[in-house]
Amino acid sequence: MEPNDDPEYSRLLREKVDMHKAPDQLRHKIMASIDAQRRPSLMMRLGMLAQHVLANWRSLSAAAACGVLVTLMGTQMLTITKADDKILQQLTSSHTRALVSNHLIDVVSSDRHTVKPWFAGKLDYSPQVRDYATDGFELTGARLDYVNDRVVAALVYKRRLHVIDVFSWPTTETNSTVSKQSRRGINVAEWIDGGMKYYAVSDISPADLDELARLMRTPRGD
Amino acid sequence: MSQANPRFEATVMPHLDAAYNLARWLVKDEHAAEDVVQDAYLRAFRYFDSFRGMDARPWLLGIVRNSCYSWLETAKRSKGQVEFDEEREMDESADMTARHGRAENPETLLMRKAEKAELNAAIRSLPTTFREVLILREIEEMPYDTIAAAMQIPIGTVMSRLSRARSLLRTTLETTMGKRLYGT
Repeated sequence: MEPNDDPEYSRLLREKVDMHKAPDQLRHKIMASIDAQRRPSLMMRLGMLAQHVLANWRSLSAAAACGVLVTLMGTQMLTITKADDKILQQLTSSHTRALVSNHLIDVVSSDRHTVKPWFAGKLDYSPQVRDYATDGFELTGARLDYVNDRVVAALVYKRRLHVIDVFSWPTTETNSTVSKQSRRGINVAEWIDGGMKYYAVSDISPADLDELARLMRTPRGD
Repeated sequence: MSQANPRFEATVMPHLDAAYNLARWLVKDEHAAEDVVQDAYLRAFRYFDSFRGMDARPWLLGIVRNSCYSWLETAKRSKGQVEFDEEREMDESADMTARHGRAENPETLLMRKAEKAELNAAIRSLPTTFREVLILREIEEMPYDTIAAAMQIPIGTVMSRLSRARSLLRTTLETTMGKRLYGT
């Protein structure tokens, strides 16, 4: 007790004052953003480890041609997974960074006729912009982001209190079904549709992300 | 589930509720409070190597209140308002009332009779610096010197601010409770 305190006063105040408990999602968001921060050093260490392993593998398999072949195939596969992983990491980091810095949106609008022209001149392609407010996914705006060594479109949707970033850019790959992954509480759904690669990133449930992907893949007259 | 520094998780994460509660009381908005706490935790994580103390709670709360003030500053600027800094305009030494008498003092009596909603509204209406010192002392039960360190002000100022906060709270409660009890 400090000299000017009246313990009874303090007790009564504590009894009546609102104590705000941190929401569960906050804990997850914090852990995710901390992980996103330290990822580069972790990736660097993993990279060094992989190089080390590969160097040793190579010297061992030098004796046998098939060994070399296996190693090369392994390297190839490792490179592919690493590239996918890099994109996924960039997307979840971008999503978290936008949430943390409060820089979610460059153009605020629920009107696709405002958002779509906004991208013109900023991108070398025109992303699909639609609002799904009637289905519970409200378009709130868009921003430009830098992912996979290029400037890309990020549409920002809201579902209840959650934010969903939808990244898209052109691809030459053929249409695919939706596949999902999760990274430290952030879910990512990806698919290819009509020459565009889509990534939806959010802390909403995978089922909700599925629903958004379904809506986006359903052709509409607009 | 996470790979974050285990020592950080063990020492700093347990104070999340306290951090959030302080932020809620300072920025008075649940979403902003989440943003602010997340920002504070990121800063805490960045500076964690330099943390040498035994108790991470006051250290963390110091970072949280700084984040809160940055947020309030930005919010104020984005609204284009130039707010009057109430705290500096007041004579902080004016209200050092003695509190040593054992008969129940009027503030305690008022605290006993106040309804929860009345008390919470009254605390919310206090200027930020007074609200802050009250929360840190009464809810967090931080000693004066720790509050002084967190708020970066002398202990004497902590005491006068706390005293001023209690008296402002009393005035506000008297007004609202007066209306309720006597309809005046």
